[in-house]
Amino acid sequence: MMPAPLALAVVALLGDPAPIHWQEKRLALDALPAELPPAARAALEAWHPWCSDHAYRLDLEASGKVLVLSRASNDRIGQQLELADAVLARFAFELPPPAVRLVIPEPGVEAPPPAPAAQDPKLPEDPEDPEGDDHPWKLTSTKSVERTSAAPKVTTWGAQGMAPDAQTVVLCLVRDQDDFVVLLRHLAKTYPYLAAWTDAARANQGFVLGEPCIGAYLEQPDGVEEWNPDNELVHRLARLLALDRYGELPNWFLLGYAWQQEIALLKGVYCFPWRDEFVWATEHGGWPSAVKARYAKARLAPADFMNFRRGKYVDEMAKASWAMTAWLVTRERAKLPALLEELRVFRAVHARVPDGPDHWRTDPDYEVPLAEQVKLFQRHLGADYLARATAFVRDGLGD
Amino acid sequence: MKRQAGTFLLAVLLAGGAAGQGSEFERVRVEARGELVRALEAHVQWCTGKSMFLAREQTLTLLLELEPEHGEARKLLGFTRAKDGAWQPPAKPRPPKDFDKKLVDEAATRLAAAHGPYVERLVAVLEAGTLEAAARAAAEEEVLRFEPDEPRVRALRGELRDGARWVLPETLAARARREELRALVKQAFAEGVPAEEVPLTERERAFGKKWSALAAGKLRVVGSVPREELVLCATALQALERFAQGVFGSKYALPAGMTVFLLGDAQQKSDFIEKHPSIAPEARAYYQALEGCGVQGTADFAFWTGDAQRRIDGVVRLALGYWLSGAFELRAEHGWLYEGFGLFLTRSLVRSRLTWLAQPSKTLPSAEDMVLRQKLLEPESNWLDEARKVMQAGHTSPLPELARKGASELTTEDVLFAYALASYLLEARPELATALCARVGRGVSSNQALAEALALEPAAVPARLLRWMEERQ
Repeated sequence: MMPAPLALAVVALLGDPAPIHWQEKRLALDALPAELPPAARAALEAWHPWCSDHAYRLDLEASGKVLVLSRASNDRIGQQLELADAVLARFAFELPPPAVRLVIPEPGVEAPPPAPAAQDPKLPEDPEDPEGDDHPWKLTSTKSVERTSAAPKVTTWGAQGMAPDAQTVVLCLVRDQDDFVVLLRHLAKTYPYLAAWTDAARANQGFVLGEPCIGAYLEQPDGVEEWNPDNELVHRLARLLALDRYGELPNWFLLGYAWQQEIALLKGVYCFPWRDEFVWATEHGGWPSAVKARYAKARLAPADFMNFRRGKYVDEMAKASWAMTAWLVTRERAKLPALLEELRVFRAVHARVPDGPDHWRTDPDYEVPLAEQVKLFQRHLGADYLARATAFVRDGLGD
Repeated sequence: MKRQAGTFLLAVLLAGGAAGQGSEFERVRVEARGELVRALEAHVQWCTGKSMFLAREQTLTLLLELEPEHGEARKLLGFTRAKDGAWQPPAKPRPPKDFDKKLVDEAATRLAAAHGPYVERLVAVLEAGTLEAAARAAAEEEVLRFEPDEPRVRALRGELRDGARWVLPETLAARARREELRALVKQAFAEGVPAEEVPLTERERAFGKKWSALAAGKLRVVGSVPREELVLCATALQALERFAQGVFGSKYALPAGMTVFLLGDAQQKSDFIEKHPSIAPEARAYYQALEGCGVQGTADFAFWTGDAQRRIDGVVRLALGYWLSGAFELRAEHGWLYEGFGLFLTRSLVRSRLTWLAQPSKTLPSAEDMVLRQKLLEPESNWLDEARKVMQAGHTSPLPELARKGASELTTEDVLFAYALASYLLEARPELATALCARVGRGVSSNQALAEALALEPAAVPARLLRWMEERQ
């Protein structure tokens, strides 16, 4: 039973406005500095009420690109922001934006199917009355069918259809399981299209979303021994940044890149999304040697990593995905932005699912088919890209 | 002597039975072609002697089709041998000329006489009626290549003369039926009772106090939309009942006390759904997601999506659904019939096809599918032409698979196929349409019912349909 004065203090804390920190200054929501990037301002405005209600603090990384939400009593925030800075620095180096952004074509404005050949004239619908002059019904529909799929006007953090690199990504370090559930409820309420997903996500210890661009993880989940919150931060932030810049890239690349950051910054892997089984202490390291051994004689094949789909952890595919990503960001960095940009646009176009004659939605589970990925990779990296990647895996991965 | 040998070969062929008919037919053709080549060579000599060089070139070209390595024919056509032995066409071909115009008809008669025996032998094989489908089709094509108007072969193919062309009987039947359908539409519109403004009933007032109501016979049309739209809707629904009765020869009627609600905005839709006594609270979310509805257990229909034409199109489809269900027990689960007939009849009446249930394509890329779906909604869209394209591209489901689908399982291409099939039945085979609906409504699979009605294997239906569509102009 909590003593009365402390209980009162907690109540008072819950009622207070959540503290906002940026560049070693404490900010007030109603007096944010003019130099604060607009995207950061939008993120603060979006999350301040929730943080105030649940005794969380808001810490903006120096550039305003990352907003970290954590319990008000978090005394590691300094180190965590340093780690975030390190992730940002690697990200800026390894996955720069493309020189030219491609335009995602709107549905209905793609090039129409080729006109019939001259020897293949159109069949008349009404051969005897082609203009319908003889028909008693004269009303017609307006020519342009009302579209419900137009991109919404973006005015707030988390709005759908945000341009790449336009958001402040939000990373929430959740205190405990109760707060995790509360956060999911809040997301479901604010973004109704997430409602079904939030029900399933309760069973997890964290998540990363591209729309809205937010990630979260439990600081210390109950009953999980092999857990390192710093790895969680690095892994989830790396994915958020990639999502913000290049959208929902193939799962293998997003995870592979996040593991690349974990291994580069923390020398081991602790974040295993969708992994159900126990993680042995020895599994955090030794990824390079495991991959080298596997590909000592075999050659990397597209299916080794491109078939690594969301929702299920497959160890061999995980390691191959990391190895392939390591090769890309190490040896093919110059060609990577244009390739990832094409993947972003391809996915945006092909994930559209018409759900009515004039409606469409995005299929969140859509992944660019393996064959299409291979085509894009060959076009950007050359037909022998797998041979080169295999050579790198054998000799350039490090130990 | 040669004629006797040919007769003997034919006798062997006819006695051979069904087995190996394709190869027997090929043997006859090869044998007969030898005679044909010799006859054509003789005709070439005659043409050369009479300076009929245009007629000669036509004959030489035919010779090369039959024997591509015919050296004399190539030389006379100006071909030369390259170093590697390949034939090279003339560098500067000169247009040939018939120098004796009086002999043009005789040249044509002689050419016909040259290939006459060949044609006769093929026709005899065909008339024996023992060839399998593929061999029969090949033989027919071969005869028509030489004698495009060969009446016995045209008759065997069940074709009829239509001016300068030979067409399916359905093509002529459909032309006449379209005339009848247009007359039926006009009559259906002309015979409607004028709609008159009437006060809202108490229950209608509960939905919207400022709405208007019109009555036309047993029908009421209520809503917030302009009066002109209410009038048009009343006119279309009365016409629909008469038209459907005329098309199917049925007396089935729309329900007495039918009330149609045309709602202009989302708030009115919500008011209607929230306040309708027959929509249970737990069903409201379902209704909210629809573009319009018939309220179960009542004679109320409502549509709240799009512009005036969209709403009227939707109400006509809903009413047609009711009518087909009552007249034949045809429902949405009878996918292609429900959608195909529903869309055809709706367009026949109100010139649009804006209400359909198709799912995304399974073969087209999603972006392409979206473009197609939007195109199909445009007023000037041409569904039969689009149907032809997807059928020719092989993007439609096989008929047995199509027949198993409910309306909400059809893809965009399936809807086009269903529409084409319904057009064929209602225009070209109207005598079958009513019986087909009745059989399917009684539980016979539509695949079986259609195959039996058309006396065609399901796999043969698309080809027949495509040919009919192409002749429909």
